[in-house]
Amino acid sequence: MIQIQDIRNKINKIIALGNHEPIIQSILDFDYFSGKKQGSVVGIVTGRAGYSKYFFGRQEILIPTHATLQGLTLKDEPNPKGRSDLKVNYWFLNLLSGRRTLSSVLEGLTLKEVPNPAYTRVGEGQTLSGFAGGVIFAENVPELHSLQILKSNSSLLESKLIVGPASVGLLVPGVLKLGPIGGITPTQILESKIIQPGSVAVMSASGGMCNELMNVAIQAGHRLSFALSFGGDRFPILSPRDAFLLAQSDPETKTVLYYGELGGEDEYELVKLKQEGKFTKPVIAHIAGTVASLFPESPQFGHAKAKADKERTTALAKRTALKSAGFKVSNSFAEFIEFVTKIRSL
Amino acid sequence: MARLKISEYHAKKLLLPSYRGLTATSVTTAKEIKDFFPSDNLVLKLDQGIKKRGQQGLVKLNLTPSQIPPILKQWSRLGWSNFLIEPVVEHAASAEHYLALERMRDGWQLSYSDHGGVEVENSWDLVKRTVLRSKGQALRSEGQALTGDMANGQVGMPKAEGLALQAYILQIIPLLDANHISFLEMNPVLLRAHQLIPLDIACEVDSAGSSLATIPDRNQGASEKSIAALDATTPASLKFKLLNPNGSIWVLLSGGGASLVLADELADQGIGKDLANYGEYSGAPKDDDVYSYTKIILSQLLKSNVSHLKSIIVAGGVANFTDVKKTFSGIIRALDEKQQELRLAKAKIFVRRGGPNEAAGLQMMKDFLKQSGLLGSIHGHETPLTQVVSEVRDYLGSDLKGSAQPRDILSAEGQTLKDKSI
Repeated sequence: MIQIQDIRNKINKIIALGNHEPIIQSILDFDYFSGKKQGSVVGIVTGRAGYSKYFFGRQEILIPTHATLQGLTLKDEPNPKGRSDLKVNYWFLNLLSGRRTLSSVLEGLTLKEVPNPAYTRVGEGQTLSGFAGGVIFAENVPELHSLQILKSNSSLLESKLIVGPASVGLLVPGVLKLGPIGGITPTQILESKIIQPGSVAVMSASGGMCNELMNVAIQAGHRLSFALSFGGDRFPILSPRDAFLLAQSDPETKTVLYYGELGGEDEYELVKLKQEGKFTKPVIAHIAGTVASLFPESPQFGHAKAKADKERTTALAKRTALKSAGFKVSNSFAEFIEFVTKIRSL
Repeated sequence: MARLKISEYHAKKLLLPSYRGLTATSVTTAKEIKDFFPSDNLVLKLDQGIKKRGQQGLVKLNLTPSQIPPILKQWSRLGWSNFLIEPVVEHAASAEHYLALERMRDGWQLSYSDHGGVEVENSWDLVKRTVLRSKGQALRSEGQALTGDMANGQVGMPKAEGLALQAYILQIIPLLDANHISFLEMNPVLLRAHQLIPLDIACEVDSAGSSLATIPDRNQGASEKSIAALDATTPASLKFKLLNPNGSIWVLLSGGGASLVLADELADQGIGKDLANYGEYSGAPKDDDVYSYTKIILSQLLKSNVSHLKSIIVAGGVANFTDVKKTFSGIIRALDEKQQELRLAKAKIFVRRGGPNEAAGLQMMKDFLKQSGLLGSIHGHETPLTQVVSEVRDYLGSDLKGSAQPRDILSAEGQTLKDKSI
């Protein structure tokens, strides 16, 4: 899987599946404020070949639209003489509905598996390895479809960084905004300081809380190394475990802020990582959902996964497990903020 | 979007080829029952997805057809509506096993115990678990072929029974997948002549994929139904659950995560029991939808006991793509229509929100709340998310009940299963 540092070191280009104007424009605004010479969204699959109007800064631009993903050529940038490494990461941003997620993502994944002349890299005669990964925005993706995507992805020679379903995206400050993460208005993007890189990584099961955690970190004077939301589904393609490994291998990340909820077993994988010594960086975690104990049977909360059907998956049980593994876990959200404020400036 | 229960009748129809059971309502007659079953030794049970029916006396054994209609009427008067009638399968209590299959990230988790039926509640540690992974066509657990595993007694069963179970599981899993079933529990289940005879079945489907009819929420009142109907018409999400109609804290929260964090805070501060409702709107709903959503909640609030102070928490995290100004204009429109009644009900509104068009949205809300005399407090993204909860607690002060029981806590769900001998 691609590492966060590889995202920073290369040019990142995005193909959007589905035309969602506010989200795509916010990515272009982010690129513009980050000082890029051009926007990262290079194509939009809309079902019809043509162009779609957007702004890059004050300048109007036309982004090519395509009938299908298959009609696209992923071209690498020309490389300086004597260098053969790829210079571009291609990302998909899947803005389609939950029902169309499976087929469209599998189509994206096969780019590497089935060699297609259309995707042959221009230049060195090397095949472009397709997408580096992508984000799935849709809610209501069936569990089985997520598992199928997961299976296809893990059977690839090199698995791709696929975040979601039900994810607001992946953010690498100043480098890549893949989704509505961090906001959709220019004011919000500028004020939320997601242009300037830092050393705090944010990961969250909830899209709203992902942005809230970013806000908490920024308010406390920190800047971010990267941020992502797994999505609140039962089987996120990028698991919290995978995301922790990304943070571990990222030289810029010094601290991880984690938001999880009742339901599911993902946090026990984090406990294992810690116990096996595979994850060593400081973490501040908040697990929401203790309110469920007011009810005789855990209610279903907002996210698909947010229901504790056994003792082990209650918020309290997971808090306790994470604590005893050595993670810093807050007992209330106010305490979480207090912990974040006390992170030493790095 | 989540795992939901389907009725036992539907589950058995789907999973057991020769199943014969009769769904019944309060008006089912003895003749209908007699005509349907060759046997006149029957079991009657509630079929509304609740756990531990036996303990609540909602499973009756060894009934004749003519004994059933009076019980149906009696149960209907308790508010129940869906029942199931089946022939009694005679067996010894010691023949009751437990079997469950749950979809996990890396395969199906199989849980099995010799000690099924009601005993399983007291002996969860006797339940053996293994994850079945599919490799090609063959199911494997912990690297071993399923055959080896079950036949070797690793899940705690004799060889012949292991083979029967294995055959059954191999046959049933494609059916579970095809119907997006994510959880199946058979308790008790009998193993007879290499055949599985499940007596009781609990079954959950993934509502995002399944087309099977799920059991509606039993306690749904009028306002919950209206919001569910509204939710069904929009790609955004609108959720509402009435907990305590006379509660003094009403919430209009946004975001699945932030709403949970705020509800936690109410519980942590010991005022969870004053919480009138739980719910959230998210996914960039239209202002008209937010208006209708707010209107339904306000009319529910105005129906409640007026003898004590009321508060409305309008709060959420820093939104990514839900427009604060747009959604707030929907909320304000609904508040405006009821502002006089809200003032009479001594309601104050406490706001915390961030996100797209935050400044304009907050300003608009502040102006409205000041002018209408409903302002409790108003904050943007720079104020900690859960601070409004303390402000609400201070405002309500001695009007907080703290000890009142929300309706759900009194409900029948979540007790233990005791139907021993069916």
